[in-house]
Amino acid sequence: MAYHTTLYLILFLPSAAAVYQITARPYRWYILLAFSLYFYICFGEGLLRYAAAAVVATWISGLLIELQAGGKKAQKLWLLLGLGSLLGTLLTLKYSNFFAVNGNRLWGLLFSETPFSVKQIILPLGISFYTLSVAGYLIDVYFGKLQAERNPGKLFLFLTWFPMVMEGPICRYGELEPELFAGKGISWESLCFGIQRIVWGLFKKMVIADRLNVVVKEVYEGYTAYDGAVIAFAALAYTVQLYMEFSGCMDMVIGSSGIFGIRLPENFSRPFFSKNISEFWRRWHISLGGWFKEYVFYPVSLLRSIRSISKRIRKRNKHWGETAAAAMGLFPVWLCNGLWHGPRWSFIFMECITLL
Amino acid sequence: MDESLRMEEKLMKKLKEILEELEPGVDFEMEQALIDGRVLDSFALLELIANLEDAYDIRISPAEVTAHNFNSMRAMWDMIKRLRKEE
Repeated sequence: MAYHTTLYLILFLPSAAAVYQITARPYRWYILLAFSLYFYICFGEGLLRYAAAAVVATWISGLLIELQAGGKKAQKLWLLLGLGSLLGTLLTLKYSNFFAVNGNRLWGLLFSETPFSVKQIILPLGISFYTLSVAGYLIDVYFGKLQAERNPGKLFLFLTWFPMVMEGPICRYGELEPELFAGKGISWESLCFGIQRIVWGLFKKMVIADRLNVVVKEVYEGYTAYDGAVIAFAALAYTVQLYMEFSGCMDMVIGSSGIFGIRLPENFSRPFFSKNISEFWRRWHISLGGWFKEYVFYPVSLLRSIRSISKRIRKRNKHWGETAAAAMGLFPVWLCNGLWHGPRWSFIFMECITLL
Repeated sequence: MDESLRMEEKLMKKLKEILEELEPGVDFEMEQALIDGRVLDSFALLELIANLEDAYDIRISPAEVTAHNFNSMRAMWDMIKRLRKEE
């Protein structure tokens, strides 16, 4: 049930909105949870257990981090255990085959054997998005920016909120929580806003992206038959197609959530009007960049060991001292960014080139 | 009392100097959206943190790196005062 399908737009979304509106305010978030779980189950009943396990791990870790207030070591232990279980599941499900294939290649060079088996793994819906969202929640609880959520149902809704579970944006619990559980009714304004954004998203996806896909597919599948100019045009068209596809989907996501009066953060800000590559990455997939900046770049750059290296360099040359700290913080950001997009070397190399 | 006020004034003046050296031409006394308005980007912020740690003998943890703490000179000063007390 993708966001641009008739089933979603004509049946699922209006039904959710209608039931939500007729329910008493304190119980409205239960309706959102029920519809979100149904939406999730539509993609595979068994996959819900992974999301449920992530909720339980996040809920327990969050409470234990808060209970240990004052004991920094114990707090850190529970944070690491929580993050370990969440990221460990993501690594196992998404990257085990990548490691198996590359491990076999390396092993094969020495012993001509392939000891690691490659398995068919079905990824739980939105695992890359929700893992980062709940990991951010745990880090915020650890740093005392958030109170641990007592009600696991609320975490379940945060994790599976149907408009954002498939494609993001990656939200912070502290930002989403006030509107997600407020049970504010659907207003004329929120309805108009939501419908406009959905129609705009549909236009981008179905009129522009899907049409460009015809050209791109034709040229990419038989590129030997075309000259350079046509291939260059197809490459350009593919770039526009990707943008229209992803940002169109985001419009539908933000519109769907907006109908219920729940504002989600924007994920794109006209990235092709950027003046340089770093500005481009600030305006493309904003929530992912923001997440990495807050939860990877600053914590790594401000590590005691990195600060002391940068201080030593700063004594000799101020500029290079700070550049060193930033580079050491940026390397894991781009490495994780590459890996997050998919278990392929092409993504990792692409992100390393961007770092340079 | 006067002595502590004078000391506070001196330390605040130091903060202004650090900021003006980092981003010349910005009116730091008026600016209220240094982070949200992208007056300071993440690299400038790292340099600022290093300078503040050196100047005030404090440790700024990642938890403190929020727009709330760095959006204005006043907010930074409040954070510095709090961290100096905690040290």
